[in-house]
Amino acid sequence: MSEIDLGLGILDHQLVDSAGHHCGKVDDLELEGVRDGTPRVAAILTGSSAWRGRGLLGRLAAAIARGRTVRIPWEEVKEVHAEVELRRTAHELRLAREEHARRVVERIPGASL
Amino acid sequence: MKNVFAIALGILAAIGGFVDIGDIVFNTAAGATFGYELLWAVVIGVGGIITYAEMCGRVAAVSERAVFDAVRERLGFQVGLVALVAAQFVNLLTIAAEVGGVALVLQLLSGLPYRALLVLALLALALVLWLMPFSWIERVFGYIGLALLVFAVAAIKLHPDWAQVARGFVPKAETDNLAVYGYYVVGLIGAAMIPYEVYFYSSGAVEEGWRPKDLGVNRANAIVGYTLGGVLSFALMISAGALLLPQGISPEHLGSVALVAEVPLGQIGLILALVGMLFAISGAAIDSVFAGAYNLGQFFGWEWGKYRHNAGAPRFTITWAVMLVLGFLIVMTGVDPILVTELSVVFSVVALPLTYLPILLVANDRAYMGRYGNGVVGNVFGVFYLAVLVVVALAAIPLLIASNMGQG
Amino acid sequence: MRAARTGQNVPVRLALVLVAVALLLAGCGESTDPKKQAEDLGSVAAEGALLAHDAADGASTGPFTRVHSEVLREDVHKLEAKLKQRPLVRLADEISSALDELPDQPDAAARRLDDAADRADELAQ
Repeated sequence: MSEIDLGLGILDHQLVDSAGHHCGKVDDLELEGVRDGTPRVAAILTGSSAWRGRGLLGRLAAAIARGRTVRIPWEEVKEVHAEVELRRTAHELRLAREEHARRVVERIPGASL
Repeated sequence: MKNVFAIALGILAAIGGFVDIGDIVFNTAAGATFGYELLWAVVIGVGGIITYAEMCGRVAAVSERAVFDAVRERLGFQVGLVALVAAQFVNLLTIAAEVGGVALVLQLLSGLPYRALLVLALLALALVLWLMPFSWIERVFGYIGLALLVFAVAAIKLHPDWAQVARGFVPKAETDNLAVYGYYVVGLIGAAMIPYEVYFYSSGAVEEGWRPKDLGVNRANAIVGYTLGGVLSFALMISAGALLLPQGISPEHLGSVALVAEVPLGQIGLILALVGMLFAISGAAIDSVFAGAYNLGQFFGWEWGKYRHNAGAPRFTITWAVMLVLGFLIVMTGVDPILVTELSVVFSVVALPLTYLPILLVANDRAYMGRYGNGVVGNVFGVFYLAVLVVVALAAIPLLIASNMGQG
Repeated sequence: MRAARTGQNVPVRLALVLVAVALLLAGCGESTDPKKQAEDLGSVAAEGALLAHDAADGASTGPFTRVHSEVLREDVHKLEAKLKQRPLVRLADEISSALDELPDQPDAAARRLDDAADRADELAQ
């Protein structure tokens, strides 16, 4: 499988950081070299505002969610199979780890159950 | 030996966990209206859930992906989002119906006021969801739900004409009220194949870490578990047909269903029926709440699952809490849970093709499934059922209106 | 751009209308046909009779008897609102009153409800 096929194949797949945590999906891809005939995936885009490139419903959803986009350069990808494994932790890549939600849930007794 | 034990436990949980308020309402009403003539529709529904649950379980074990992972990957963001919104709408109605059902059964057991029991139901379910480990939930609610087998005993004790019962397994539509008949066909198939079942089954398979070596367990669970669960549905329809139809009784309430066990079996029959309904419906409430949270977590790529512990999957946790509360609020308005049940089943029927098509596609995708993809048999059943579901989905709302919600 | 967005609204609005119609029609469950009304009353009476006989035999429980007979009474009230014919109205009153005394006097209620069910059958012819 050529690299571009591999790259395109990961769209909408699960992102997993080096610690094994889910950190969002591959929401869009940044391609380069399309015009000179050597297309490559330059970066993975993740985050709700990356949905703006995914059609009309994507733009609508992005407008409602009002989040940010995180750009993950292709070099950060360690392995691609069912999920896209990244070389570093979510924190290092500045990916959200559900901190706001975690702070709320942690306060309730039994949160570690 | 241990494997056989594990399979048996899984099957028991599947039997008890199969019946929910939708099955209880539609099977009893169908029996009271058409006697044994709609048993064939239950067979179709059970065949459908077996086919697709086995497929989902296989997809989860081989590709380690649950339904909405596969939906987004295979159908893309926009179509996946439409499927998600439809699924969540239906899940929410189901949750409301099940929570209302729990309160109704608690009322029949205790005599306490309905609204107070709704609050109690909310708190009790929230506690279970928060504290109980995943495997416990399935076992406890599945096993005690087996008390519903009392309806099988009731059916036998009511001495139906077994030759007539046997004829009910052959479809024929000799009735002057075709709209009502059609409505019940739709409702029975819809109740048997209600979407949260496959979302939950497939996510549970990923939660429990199924791998290709567990495919045998998957198949046994699906086939034996749901078939025996189907027997519970037959029991409801046959006993309602034997007792209620000759007396011209149209069952409108869960108490009416309980009566069907009380009349032939007395007080013990009543109590077993009520306890069975309580645990079966509670189990379904829990499963459908989780299904809602699983779907969102899988579509957006969050941490999800009971195995991550509450704080380990915080958005997932908040989602199930919100869905439970929303369902509670819907029935707190005083709307009849039986009405919500019927609507939830009918609307989920409309969404069924959108639910099951992605599963069929993924189960055939060699890139996901390797050599475990659908064989010829799997695809024959899969495509057959998809066709059935498309027909049923198109007919659902017109039949709802034409039959005046089964009232004729 | 704006035209495209409002264009997308039409299928959504259509869906909402369909849902609203479905809900409205679903809510209109009560019939105004006297034959059907008699059948509905007969159904409640027969169900109440089953409950009453069980209660009289000690085959039920206190809470269940009370809650279910009350629920059936509410059914009669809902039906009563649409009744026009005098015999049906009298029948509805009789059923409602029998259900009221069911938890305390199940024997008497059973007899009254059996009779009411028979009468409903006659009226439905």
